[in-house]
Amino acid sequence: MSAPGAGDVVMDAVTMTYHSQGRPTVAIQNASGTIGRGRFVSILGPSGCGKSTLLDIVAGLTAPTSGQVRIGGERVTAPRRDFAMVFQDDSTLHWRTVLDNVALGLEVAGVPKAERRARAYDMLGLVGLRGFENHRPRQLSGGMRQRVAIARALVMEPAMLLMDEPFGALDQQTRTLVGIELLRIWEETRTSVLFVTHDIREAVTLSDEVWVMSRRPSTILDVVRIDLPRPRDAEVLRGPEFETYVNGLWDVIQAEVASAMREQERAAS
Amino acid sequence: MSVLNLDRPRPPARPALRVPAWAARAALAAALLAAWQLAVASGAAASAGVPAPLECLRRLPEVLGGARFWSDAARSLLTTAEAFAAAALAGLAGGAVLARFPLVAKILEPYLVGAYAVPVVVFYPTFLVVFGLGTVPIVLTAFLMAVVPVLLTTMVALGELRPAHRKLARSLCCTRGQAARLILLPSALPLLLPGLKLGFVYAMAATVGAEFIVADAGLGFRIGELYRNFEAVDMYVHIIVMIAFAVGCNSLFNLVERIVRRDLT
Ligand SMILES: Nc1ncnc2c1ncn2[C@@H]1O[C@H](COP(=O)(O)OP(=O)(O)O)[C@@H](O)[C@H]1O
Ligand SMILES: [Mg+2]
Repeated sequence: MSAPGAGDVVMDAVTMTYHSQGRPTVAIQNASGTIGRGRFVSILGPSGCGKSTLLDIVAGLTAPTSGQVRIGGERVTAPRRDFAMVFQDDSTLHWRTVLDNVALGLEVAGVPKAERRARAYDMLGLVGLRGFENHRPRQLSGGMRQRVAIARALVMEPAMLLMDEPFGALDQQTRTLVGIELLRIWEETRTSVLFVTHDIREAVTLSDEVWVMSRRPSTILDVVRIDLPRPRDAEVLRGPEFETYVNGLWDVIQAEVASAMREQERAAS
Repeated sequence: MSVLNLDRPRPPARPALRVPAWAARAALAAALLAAWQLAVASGAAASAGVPAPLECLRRLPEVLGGARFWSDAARSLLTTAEAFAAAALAGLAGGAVLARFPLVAKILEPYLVGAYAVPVVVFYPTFLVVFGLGTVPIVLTAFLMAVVPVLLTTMVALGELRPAHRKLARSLCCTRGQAARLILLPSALPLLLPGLKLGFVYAMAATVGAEFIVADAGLGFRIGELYRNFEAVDMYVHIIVMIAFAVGCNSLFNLVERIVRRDLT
């Protein structure tokens, strides 16, 4: 493996143990990996395996029990201005207009009003929400609100975009459409992305790399490079190669599930 | 329309109301006054000693023209305002602290909810003994009545901040002040404002109630005095004006609420 570059985000033996009701739960054990600058990496795993926890650790929101996260050699110990997040639940502010929602991070960072409005306005064009500047989030559909959240993150021009199942609350059709939209936006910005999902097809559609997480105590079980050409148009996504990746990931996850069941049976008998 | 229309069937359109709502309300008020007038004129209300509304109306300018009325009104409103201001400050601050320390809140909760049920006016005599006749015991009583709803709603409002909003504030590297100003307070406002409104209503009710029991001035005191002197017409004039004050204050709060909560527009 080559030496990490300046914009790379490195997870180094990250371990997270929760203590609830006096008993320790190892949520993540020794997870390591490098998100190369400008790469789209997905973390794929069953729910409860620690994906959100790992993302929060990379974001600097949660301190790991041991191990560390670095960007450009610098340790991440707190939330950073150059990292931006998109959450699963709707996090738009319902009392602000769409434009002011997108400008929120810039406002916090002290960008002057005229500039932040201009930048937010441009970003609304990129996410396809031009004309909705003065709407309130409640007037928008769930998919549109998530695009507002994506615009709010991207307008910060982050070095790293962290997305925690951002389409998890959307119906399947909207989910696919907003996913394609995200790809188009990402191809224009080329930010590094760490994207959490439990949907195999979504991971293959979007990513350069898929990191498969095992169940608890979770670690990165497998790293699968998705060498599908970009842009990922309909032809690519309907092609045989796409299905090969999906089936390959299925096999990894099924083997994991099977071993989990064997273990449970052993414990039961 | 397509057969596959999955939308819910629309309810049949109601015939448009020809009279505006405010006109209907005014008509209702007029009808009630007319009924009152009729009841008195026919002698049906004689045993209650209620004067006719027209009689009250004739007396109204005289009462409103007197200096005594306005000094009473000023006294009651000032007392209410003092109690409310103190309750708002203490309730907002206390609620914020309790929202910050859930464990303390959990321990205190039964007491706070219990305090809601206590008619604080029963402590008024004690306060009178300690502080003597004057506005202090009344302000204190009204404060205690008003602070509980403000505190409870503040605690709930701040406690119900969505986890996604909390995370958002942290991920954007908000300072404490920014988090409060940009995210925490606006998201809590829908509950905070009704709490404050309730606090004001309680403060006013407690003030007038305490004045009615023992006081040396104020609308509540005056109504009691007029009652004891059998001055029914003046008493009802005072009552009517006081109702107008209360409704006016409430409308003022609603106006503020509409201005502050821009998301409702
Ligand atoms: N604050 C916490 N305290 C205790 N346990 C937690 C906490 N957060 C998460 N966990 C546990 O850690 C595990 C991983 O959670 P999470 O990262 O949310 O999983 P995922 O996002 O993959 O669904 C779960 O078993 C969860 O119960
Ligand atoms: Mg999760």
